[in-house]
Amino acid sequence: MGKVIKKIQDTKRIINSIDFDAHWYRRVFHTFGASFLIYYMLPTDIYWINFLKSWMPLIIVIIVIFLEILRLKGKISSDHFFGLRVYEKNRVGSYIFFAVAILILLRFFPQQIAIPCILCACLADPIMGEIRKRFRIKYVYISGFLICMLFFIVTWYKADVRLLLITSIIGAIGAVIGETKKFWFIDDDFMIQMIPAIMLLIIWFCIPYLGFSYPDPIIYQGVFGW
Amino acid sequence: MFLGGKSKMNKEDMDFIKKGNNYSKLIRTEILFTPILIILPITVSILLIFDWYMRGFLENNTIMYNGELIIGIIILISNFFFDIPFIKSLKAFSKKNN
Repeated sequence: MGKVIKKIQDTKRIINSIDFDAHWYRRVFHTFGASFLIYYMLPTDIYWINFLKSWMPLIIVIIVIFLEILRLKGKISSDHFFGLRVYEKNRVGSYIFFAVAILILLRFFPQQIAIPCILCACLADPIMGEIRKRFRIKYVYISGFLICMLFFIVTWYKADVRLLLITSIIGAIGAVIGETKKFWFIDDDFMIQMIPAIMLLIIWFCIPYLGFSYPDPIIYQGVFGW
Repeated sequence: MFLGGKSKMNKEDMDFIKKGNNYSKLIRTEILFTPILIILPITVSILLIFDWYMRGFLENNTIMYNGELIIGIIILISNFFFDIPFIKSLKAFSKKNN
């Protein structure tokens, strides 16, 4: 009996340590997504760099989707995918939604919209997750709103103050809704990026009619003198 | 009886652990990605700050590049914020299993 108890306790300890590691691993995986902002630093006037810039994000996403299809079909074991949640074992993993949303933002949205939305998913999401773990839910909404608003203010600081306020408040509301509202068919990693992006895109098209001018970009091409 | 209450493991978890190499496979994947997950965002944030310094600060054009500086600092700080507990957990895990 003593051996059985010890065996069960050991197994429990192992599972707990996996949970602990996976938790921080998921957080770091989120913050890693901010690296994709390098996209805006790469120049478009050098052919091979422009070629990579145009195709690499798409190729990466296609490879990831291909691996995910193989995983869901059972050709690759889920054991190789560290950090997957239990409910993701038989459905599309959240990292696919995360990657697809980043790809859409990089390719089809102006950087003034894409950058804060990517930062919301990469940085605000894990911070809100940590706050959710430690404090009450209302603090998640408040702090999430403030953090997301900060990202929109930083990205739109070159715009007119009224436009800056409109975009940062609407963008932050969209991001908080995207993060906190759960949909069974789509992951919050997708929604936290796409809801504010679509809301801001509508504002973006209205900017000339509202009497404002478009703000300058934040990240400029050509680091290292390229 | 022994695993009552909140800490009760479900059958799925037990079966998962029972399967031979699962544990080491998972951790291998994690360790394999660790350098990229940590180094790449820090590199990008340093590049942004470097660009602000080279084209903004040295050329007296900081207003235009201040956004790059702030985004670089935000990425750097938040990465450290999550990287440190992640590395600690990895270290604690390796100690526990050696």
